[in-house]
Amino acid sequence: MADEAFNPDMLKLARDARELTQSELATKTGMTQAFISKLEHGLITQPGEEAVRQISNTLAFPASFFFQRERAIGFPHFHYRKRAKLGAKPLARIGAVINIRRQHIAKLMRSYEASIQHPIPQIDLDESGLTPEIVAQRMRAYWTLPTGPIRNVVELIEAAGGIVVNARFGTNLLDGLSFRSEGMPPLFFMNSEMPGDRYRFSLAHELGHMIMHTLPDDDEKMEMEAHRFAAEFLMPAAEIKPYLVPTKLSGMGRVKAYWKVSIKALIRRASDLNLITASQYKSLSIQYNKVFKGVEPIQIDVEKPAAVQKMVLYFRRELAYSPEELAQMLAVRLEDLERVYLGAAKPGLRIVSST
Amino acid sequence: MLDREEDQNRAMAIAEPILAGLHGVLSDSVSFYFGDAYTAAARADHTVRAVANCIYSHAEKRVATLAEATEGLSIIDVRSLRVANYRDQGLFRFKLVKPNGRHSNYQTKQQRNYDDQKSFPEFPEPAIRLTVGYELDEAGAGLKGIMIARPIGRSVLWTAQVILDAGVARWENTTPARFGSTEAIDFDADRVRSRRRGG
Repeated sequence: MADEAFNPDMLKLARDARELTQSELATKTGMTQAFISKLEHGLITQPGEEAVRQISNTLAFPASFFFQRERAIGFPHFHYRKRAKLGAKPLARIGAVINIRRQHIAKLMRSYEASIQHPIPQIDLDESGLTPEIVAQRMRAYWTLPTGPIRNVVELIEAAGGIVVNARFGTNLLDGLSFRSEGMPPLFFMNSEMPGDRYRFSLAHELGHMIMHTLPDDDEKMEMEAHRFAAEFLMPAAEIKPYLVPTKLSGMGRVKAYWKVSIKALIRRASDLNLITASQYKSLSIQYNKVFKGVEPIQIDVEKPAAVQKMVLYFRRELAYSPEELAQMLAVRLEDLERVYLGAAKPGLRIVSST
Repeated sequence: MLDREEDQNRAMAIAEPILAGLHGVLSDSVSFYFGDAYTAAARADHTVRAVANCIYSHAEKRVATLAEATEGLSIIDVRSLRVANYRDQGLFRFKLVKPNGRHSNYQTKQQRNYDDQKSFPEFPEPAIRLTVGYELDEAGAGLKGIMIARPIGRSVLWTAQVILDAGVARWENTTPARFGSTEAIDFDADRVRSRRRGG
């Protein structure tokens, strides 16, 4: 590795993934903060084998990780308000996770081809004159979905070529992020630490962003459009109305179990569809908070993505990669590869959890 | 004059040998309804009334089975009113109830007479008339609890939560606090009905 350049972006990613400040990393590695700072700013390009070993051990990434010619990308152009609520450290960690996993996916996709019949389209609302509701209805028709609840949103997105990654964000302030990256399918990074009904709505919301928001726009407007898309996509007005009349909490549990959306979303839908008045909505919301105290009955399982796992299996079975070769290719430690991609363990943030 | 505490103790002493069985009838019926026997789609179509009807139908079959296996327990069927009779001392009617032990659906004349403690030629006198009630959770998607309630006209004199611990049933007084001051009641159905009519 002596002739390869140390990549400062990768050091920053690894440090963010472990939620360490430069000063904390310096203390843990026995180096000075000045040295770490210069490394991250590209002022030192050949840190020396011992320093790389120390950094690699402390951050639990193989030495090869720091010599990859990868470039970290920023957050997508939506979710500004949500991100603003997050602290700097968790935000940086989520950014690191997204970048690392994106790099893995990009490497895997170089040797993997999937035929996609109905990919996720991009529709400009202003150009087309369509509303988010119409887009949602057309998407259901385009993917020839039957009437009624959508059985599995992840499966739909993956069948359309999207890649969904479940990860533990370590916060409930951010449900998911999605973006398109050059040469890659739409990527959806979802917080797996939330109830399955909320997960489905958030994923449908992200799908709305991917379809309708190619160009940056007002954050509040984009969020509202994505919300409207998700609501119509998961609960088409024409179909859900009979289930929301009368809108009473005592019937919502059974409707939730069937439609796989939260009771909160059902109440909001009833309001958005003018099935209840503003004061009824307020009263139901108060009742909802009083009764459920943040925990709704009826557990809906968090949907499990399979696309990345499928690619890894392809490498193992069809391309005869050994676990060691796969770990080397992805620049991860063997134990992390096994935990994240090969084992039965939950795919997710294990790769960036403290060791 | 009915004393609440005395009446409750007397009634629950009568019910005690069959409490676990009554609990089982309703908890099994509710579990059956919310289990695999119905699809989520079917349940989503059901109104609260339909849910109560389904659970009641399942409870009917189960209480008949319980009656077969329990000495002294039989079913009395008076047209639209079916109740379980235990040793001619207690009559038990199965209902979906609210937390205060009341039920709210439309009542036939027979059913009103039952709650009003009126005499029926088919009913043993003076068997105490009770409601074995099940309460669904706030979202209407699971069992919250099972109780015995003592209906008196349109009101409820007392309620008792039935709890099953390792197969052994016990009960706790859960009479709502707002009924607390009503420690005794002098109920006369004819007088109350006459008042209702404004007579």
